[in-house]
Amino acid sequence: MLPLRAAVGRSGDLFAPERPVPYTAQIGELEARILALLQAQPDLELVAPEAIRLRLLADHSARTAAGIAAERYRLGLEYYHGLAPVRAAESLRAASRIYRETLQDLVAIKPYADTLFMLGVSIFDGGDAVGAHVVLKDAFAQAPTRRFRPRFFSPQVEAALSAALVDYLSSANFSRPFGDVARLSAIAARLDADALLSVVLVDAGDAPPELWLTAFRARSGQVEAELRLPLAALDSGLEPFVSRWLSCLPPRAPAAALRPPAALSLRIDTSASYALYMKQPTRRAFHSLGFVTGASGALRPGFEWHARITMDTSLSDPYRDLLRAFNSVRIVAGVGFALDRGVWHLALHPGVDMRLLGSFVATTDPDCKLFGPAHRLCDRSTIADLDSDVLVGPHVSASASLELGRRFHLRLATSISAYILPFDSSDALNTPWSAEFGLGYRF
Amino acid sequence: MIARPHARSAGTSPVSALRAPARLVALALGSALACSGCASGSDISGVWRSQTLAAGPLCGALGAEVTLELTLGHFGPDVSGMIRFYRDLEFEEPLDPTAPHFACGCLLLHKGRWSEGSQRLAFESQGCLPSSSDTAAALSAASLTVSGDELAGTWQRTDGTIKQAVRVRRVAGLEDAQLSCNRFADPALGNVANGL
Repeated sequence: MLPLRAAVGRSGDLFAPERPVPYTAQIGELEARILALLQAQPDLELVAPEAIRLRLLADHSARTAAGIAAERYRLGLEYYHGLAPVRAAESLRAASRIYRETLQDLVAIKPYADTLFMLGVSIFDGGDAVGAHVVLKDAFAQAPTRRFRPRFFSPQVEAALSAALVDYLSSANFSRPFGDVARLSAIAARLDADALLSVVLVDAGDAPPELWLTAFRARSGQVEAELRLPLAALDSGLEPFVSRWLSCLPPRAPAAALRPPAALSLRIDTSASYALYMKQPTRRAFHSLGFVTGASGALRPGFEWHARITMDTSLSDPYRDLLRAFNSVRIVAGVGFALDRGVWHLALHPGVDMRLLGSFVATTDPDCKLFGPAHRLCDRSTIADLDSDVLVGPHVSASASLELGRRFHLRLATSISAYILPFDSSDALNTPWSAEFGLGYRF
Repeated sequence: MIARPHARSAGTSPVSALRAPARLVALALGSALACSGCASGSDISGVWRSQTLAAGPLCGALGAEVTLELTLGHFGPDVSGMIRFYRDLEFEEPLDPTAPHFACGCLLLHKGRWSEGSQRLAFESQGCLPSSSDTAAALSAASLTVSGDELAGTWQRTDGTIKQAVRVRRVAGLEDAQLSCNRFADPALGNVANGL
C-alpha cells in the first residue's frame, strides 16, 4: 500500500497561511485504519506504507541523489533571486527529475513539491505561462494544501498559482496520484511488489469526503480495480472492493498478489569469519580467520534454504602446540526460518556442517616442536594428527541483515556446530563457534 | 617438520607462519586476534651466547677455554633446546664432535621449564661435558634468570663436583639456528652421550 495522499486543498486558503489545514490530525489515523482493514484480508500479504517509506529512505544511493537534488534546488533559488529565471528553471527541472527517478518524491514530498512550485514560478517569469500552469498543477498534486504568504510573489504569479490550484481541484485524476501506469510499473519494480494499492482522500469542501482507491498489478501492467468510496462508508466498502479485485486475479496469483519486498529474494554475501574451537587438542585455544561466501533463498514466506562455504586458517596458539597453521574448508547447508522486520532480515538456520581439515598436527612435547616429529627426542604419543580428516555434524546459525538500500545489506551472524563423525577425530577437535561479518547483495 | 617459535629479534609474527592464501586474510582481519595468539609475557626463544671465554671446570677442556651457545625454543611453560660449545668468542670454531670424548661438541636440554612469574629458566642435561674426564654421561642442571636480553645463573653437575656461573646474551632468533647435535656411537670419537 502506497502512502496515503490527501487532496483536501481549498482554493480560498491559498494565500491564507494562518488558516488550519484540514485533516492534518486525521491523515495518520485514516491510513492506519485502512491498513488494518486491508490486513484483515486473508489473501493479501501487505507491505505497510511506513515500511515503504523506510525502505526508500534506507536506499543510500537514492538518498545521495536526493542530496544532489536539494543542491540543485538551492542553486535554482539563487538563480531565481538573481533574476535569471531561465537558468533557475534548468536547475529546478534537473532537481525534480532526480527526485522522480529515485522515487524520493514518494517520501520527500515537501522538498519535491517546493521544487515544482519554484520551477513553475521560474517558467512563468520566463514568459511561458502555459508551461508554468502544467508544472504548478503538478506541484499542487503533490501538496494540495500548500499555502503561500500573500504578496510574497507578484500579483501575476499569485494569479497563476490560484488558477493552477483551481484547475487541479476541478480536473485532477485522483485515481492516478502517483502517475501513469509506466510510472506505477517503475515503482512496483523498485519496491519488488506484485501490486500497488493507492488511496487518495478527496475533499474539496463542496461535497462529502471520498476515498479514491486504485489497484495496479505489475504483471499485467494495468490498473485492475478502481473505487470511489464515501469516507463514511469505509468500513463496509473496502472489503468488497478488495474481494472483487482478488477474485479477478488468476487462480494462483492471490497468495502472492502483494508480498513483502524482500521475502522471495535470493541473497548472496561474502563475509569475514572468525572461529574458535571449544574443544581442541592444544592446551590453549587458537583462533581461526577466513572468508565465507553464502547464499540463501526463500522457499516460502518465513522459510528459506541456505548454503555457505568457508575457507579459514588457524593462528598460533599461545603455547604453539599447533605444529603449523592449518587450513580448512567448511560447507554448511540446510533449511531455516526467516523474518523480515523493517530494514532487518533475521534468520535462524539449522543445518549440516562438513569440514575438511588441511594438515592439522598438534603436540604438547616441546622437543617435537623444536626438532620436529621425526626427532628421537620427540614423544610421538603426544601428537594429534588429523591430517585431511573430514568432520561432519549438526550446525545452527543465527543472522541479522541490515538492508542498506534496494540491493545491498550488511550481515552479522554467529553459529556453532558439533561434529559427530568420525568418532575418533571429533574427540580431538570439535564444537567450533564462529562469527561472520560481511556485505551481501539481493536479487 | 619443525615448529619455529618467533623471536623478538627476528621481527617476525605468527602470521608469517601462515600459508600464502591465508596470509592476506590474517593481515587484513586479524592483527588484534593474531596478537592474542602470541605467547604471553616473555619469549626466550632464540640463540644465546656467552660474551667471555670461560675458564673453569665446566668449560675448560684440557685447560682450553670455551664459550657456550644456548639454542632455546620457548613454548609456554616448556622449553626445549641444545647447548653447543665453541673455542672462541667469534663462535667460528665449534668443538669438534669427532674429537675425543672430552671435547664435547653439543648437548641436548631435557625438562626445560619456564616460570613466567619469576622469569626463570630451569633445565637438566645428561651427557658429555667438555671438562669431563670420564666417558659416562654427566647429569647436570641449570637455573637461569632472564633480564632483558641476558640470561644469568648457575649450572652444576648434580653430584656437586662442578658448579659454575653462566651468563649469556641473546644474539639471534631461531630462524638461522643450527639444530643438529649428532651422536656418535664409537666411544673413540666424541659425543658418545649428547642427551639422546
